Amino acid sequence: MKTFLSSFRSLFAIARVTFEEIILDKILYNFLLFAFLLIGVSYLASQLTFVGQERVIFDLGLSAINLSCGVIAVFQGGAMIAREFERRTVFVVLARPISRLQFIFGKFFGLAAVLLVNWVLLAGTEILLFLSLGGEMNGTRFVAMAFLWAQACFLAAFTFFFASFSTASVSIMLVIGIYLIGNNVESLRQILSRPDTSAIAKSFLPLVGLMPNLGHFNLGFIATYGLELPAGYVWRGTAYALCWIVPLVYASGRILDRREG
Amino acid sequence: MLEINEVCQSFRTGFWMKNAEVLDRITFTVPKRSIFGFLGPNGAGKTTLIHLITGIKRPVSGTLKLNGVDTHLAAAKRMIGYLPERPYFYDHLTGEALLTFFGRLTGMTESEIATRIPVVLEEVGMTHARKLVLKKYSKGMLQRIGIAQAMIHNPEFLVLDEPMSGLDPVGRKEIRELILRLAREGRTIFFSSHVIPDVESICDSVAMIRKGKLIGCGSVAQFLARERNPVEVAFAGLSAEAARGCANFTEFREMSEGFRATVGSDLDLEPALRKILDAKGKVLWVNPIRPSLEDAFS
Repeated sequence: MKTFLSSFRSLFAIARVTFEEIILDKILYNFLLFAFLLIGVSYLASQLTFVGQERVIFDLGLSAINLSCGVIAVFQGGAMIAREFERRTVFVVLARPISRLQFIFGKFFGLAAVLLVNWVLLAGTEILLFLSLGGEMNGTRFVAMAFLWAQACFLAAFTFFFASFSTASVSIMLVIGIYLIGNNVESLRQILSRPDTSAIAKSFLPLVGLMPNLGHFNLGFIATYGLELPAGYVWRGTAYALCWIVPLVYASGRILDRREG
Repeated sequence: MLEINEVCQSFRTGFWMKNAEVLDRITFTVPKRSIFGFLGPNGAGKTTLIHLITGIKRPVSGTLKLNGVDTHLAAAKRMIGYLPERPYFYDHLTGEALLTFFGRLTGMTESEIATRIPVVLEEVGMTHARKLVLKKYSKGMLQRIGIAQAMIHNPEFLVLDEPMSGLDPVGRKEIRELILRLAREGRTIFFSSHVIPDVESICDSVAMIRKGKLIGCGSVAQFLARERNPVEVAFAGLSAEAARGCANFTEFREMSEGFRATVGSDLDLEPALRKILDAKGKVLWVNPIRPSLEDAFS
């Protein structure tokens, strides 16, 4: 029990230092400012329509949160691991009685906490704007927003994974690729399943099945119109996120074990 | 205290992941309560061995045991304090926050940390800068806070990787005095450097590696012990030809004030001085040449 508590304290200490490090980074505020501007633009855009102004606000607001959280996850996540090795801070930490797994999970939780703060600020603004224009906030809309945080954590886990064996820039590019593919997995699957698709193209279908599907975090028109969520959607989405995030962060720690710096 | 036995380490490098041997069967022992110098030119494998000693990495083969415990285990890590070569810590933290962070990582309780922080800050002379963020620290201050973080959990074994690099003469002197003070408290200090006089001035024992191989290990006195030491003599008032004939000099050169020459040992000094004085020459100075580790390892 004592060892578990000590491990948890070490992990929390790393997460806290990571959180403070990112929060003090000026680039973060540029991303945040950009997202607030997008929400502002969404208000202006909503004024161009006579009906469904609140839906326009909601849709564009979701895009702003998605973009801001995603960019922070990918860019901060990618640079974070590389920075630890460049500045050699990782070695002073690892000379203490902690494992690389604890270290990497601590870093991940620190980044996830930053993403959460970013999400709270943007989602709070978005909700206030949405309600002020007569929109009705319900569970579906809240879940749609919350899943954007889950998606950002998902991307951060991929960035950690790629950064554990490559450079920051390569890992960022790979994650952007994952993001583009992940958002189009369903479309790819539909295209490859069509009867007129060639056999060679169809052979890629199992590969598409292995790709992460970010569609799980994108509620689309269900969120825009505030429709009822399919039963078990939240649990399935959460489990899906965890099933990718935990193994990816774990694998990053294992790969770092073999890295020489 | 620390036993390093037949340690080998290699890395895979390049596109074809070629195996590069960095350490080759290193074996030596660091005695308890000593200042142990670890010498080697840049790229010799010093930092790699330090990473193995501090448990950051594991060797490909061989063992490293601190008080009988494998150095990669948590129990050994709790006995070790480590100052890296370039102490780039999280520079948004204050000195106090850095010590708290490392205290937590070592498994200390909050009350233990609160008790130790003023003690170690006092010890390294950094009490005044405890609330200052590290990005405002000078190089010397970073070295001091680095030593403080290494000592926060009161370890008995301190590993200092190039603790004097980049410091001015005053800073070097201060760090040297600090290391000697820590040794007097009963700690064992493993002091890595590529600057031989630094090691010579404070270490009791020394090991040297070159290209990953151990080329010597033992007490400093053992390396410096010689039967006869050469002596340098400077003199004037003679012609160059007469000066050269005064003794069988091992080195001889002219300078603006006269001549500067070296005799092989103190036994040759007296006849040489007598000849210079008999020839009406003037002795400017006599300087016994102390042997150095540089000579021992060259």
